[in-house]
Amino acid sequence: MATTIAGSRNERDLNKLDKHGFKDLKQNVHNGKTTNGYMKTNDLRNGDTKFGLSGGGVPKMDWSKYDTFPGSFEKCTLLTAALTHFGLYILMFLGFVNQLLFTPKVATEKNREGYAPLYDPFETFFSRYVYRRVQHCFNRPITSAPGAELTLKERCTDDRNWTFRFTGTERRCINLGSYNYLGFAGHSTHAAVAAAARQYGLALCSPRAELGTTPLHRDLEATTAKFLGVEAAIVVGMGFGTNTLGLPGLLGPGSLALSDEKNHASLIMGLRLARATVRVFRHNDVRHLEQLARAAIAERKWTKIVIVVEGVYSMEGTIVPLAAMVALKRRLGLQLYLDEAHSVGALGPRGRGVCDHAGVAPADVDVLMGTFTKSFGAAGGYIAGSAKLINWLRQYGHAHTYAHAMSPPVAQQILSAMRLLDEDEGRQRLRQLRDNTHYFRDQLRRMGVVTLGHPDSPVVPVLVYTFSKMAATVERLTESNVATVGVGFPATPLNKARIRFCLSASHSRAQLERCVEAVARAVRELGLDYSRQAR
Amino acid sequence: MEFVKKIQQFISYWYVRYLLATELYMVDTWEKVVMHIVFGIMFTLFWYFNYSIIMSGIAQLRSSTAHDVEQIL
Ligand SMILES: Cc1ncc(COP(=O)(O)O)c(C=O)c1O
Repeated sequence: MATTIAGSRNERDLNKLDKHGFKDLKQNVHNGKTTNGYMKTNDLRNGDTKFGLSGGGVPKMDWSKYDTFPGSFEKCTLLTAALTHFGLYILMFLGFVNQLLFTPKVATEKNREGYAPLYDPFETFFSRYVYRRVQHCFNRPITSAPGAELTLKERCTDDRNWTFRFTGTERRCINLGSYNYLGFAGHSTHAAVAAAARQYGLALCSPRAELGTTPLHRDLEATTAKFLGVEAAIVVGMGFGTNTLGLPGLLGPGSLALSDEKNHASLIMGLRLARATVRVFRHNDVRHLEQLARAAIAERKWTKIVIVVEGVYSMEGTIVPLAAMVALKRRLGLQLYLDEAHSVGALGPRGRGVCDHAGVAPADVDVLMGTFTKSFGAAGGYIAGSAKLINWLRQYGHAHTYAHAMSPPVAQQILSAMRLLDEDEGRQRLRQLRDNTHYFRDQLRRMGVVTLGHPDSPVVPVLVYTFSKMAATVERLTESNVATVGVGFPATPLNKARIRFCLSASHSRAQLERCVEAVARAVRELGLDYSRQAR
Repeated sequence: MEFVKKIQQFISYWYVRYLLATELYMVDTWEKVVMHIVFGIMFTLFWYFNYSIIMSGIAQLRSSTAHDVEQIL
């Protein structure tokens, strides 16, 4: 067939008659569907990559030339693994006995004969008998801005965590849980934000494509594009929605997405909504990615093949090996969608995110996506890239046309923060964040706990393996006035519960020392020093 | 008094570690008791099995001559 794999152009010459003197209708078949021979181009590559027609002719990548460090993943001892599984087994067993003897009201469905069960049995079982027992560590309400410190509203329970009631007391804690990397949540820039709220109000009551575009939005899009060093950008009122609404605009049923196994829920949902075929490669494993990509190219049926990765993975603290990915993408003619939710503003010498960190030109990444929720202390997300891409997204990404425009004070907050980043204060914050990250990671390593990820990542997950240890650690740290987040099963594998520390430029060294002390105490008491590496 | 306190501390430290290792830390008291009893019974059974079967078997092997061993095997 004369269609190219990229699917963008139907290369049959329509003016030539075939041997029967007819225009051969059969040739107008694209992806199994008959078309009228005209196909709109939706090929959004930035022009520097050629689509490889056959994977076979292109030589294999020589990975030794690239930094492919996937992040540190220390293996646990056999004993730890066995005990973790044994503990899980006991928990499930006790839950089962519990449910058998004292079936709670929520677990009985009445008058529903003949219908499918309302709840997926394992998920509800899990949330009743495992999640409930540690529920006091999650969804904790706060009553202050999430700055370097925050105020926790204390709760207690009378019925073994089924319900909670407030004790009326509050606790001031050092905040190691919020994604406030540059410390913009909580202070600064307030005067400009208030002025924007006075001028434009809090909501525009309209999507961008109708009456929702103010000079602030245009300014923000231009500033974001300039900040990232690309042609254009589009901003959306919600980070999660940027992915779930943007991806369906870019990919369709004929496209293949090669997705990292640790990708965020919003990316997964976006790919599902796009009805793209998804193949998952092992976390940060460029060799596996290359295998999948070559196999996919050999199939010769995809309109495009897109690698979907994140900059910093929030549950693993790892950083994508971007230089290697870009080299692979160029060699095989793939496209790259990069979600910089946790890395933009927080990584790189100039805070430009993972491109800056890896020394990759931003134009080498086809789609740069990111959120303003973390480093900029605001809300919303952006997609940046070539002007063609952004125009396409304004048309076909649903966010611009159907979703509410970004709130003006929020846009102003991002603008102010982004401008500050290029001034002395911003550079100071970046340095402070890097120092804090290195200091904290270093101290944790000396304690002998297992930390995951890249040394430069401001997200520091500490493996504790079991739910009990996670809950106990969060309890102990709260007692020592350190607020942090434990993460368990649905977000991580069942036997890999962890504590996640998020560092911020707003933490002073004294505060971090207090945190380190508190963590060290918990490590000693609970025996969390699993690491077998040199301290 | 110091000494008693130290022993108390030692016991409570290792009790917490035991609870954490077996995930009993987060369950209700009656469930803890049930699991302690189950562990107790299992341990006793193992001990009794080792004591009565394995130990006596080994004792028999040790007291027998090489010729007997060939016969047993
Ligand atoms: C990788 C990634 N993408 C998207 C989002 C969603 O962003 P938001 O919280 O701004 O909706 C997150 C949020 O945690 C994220 O981690």
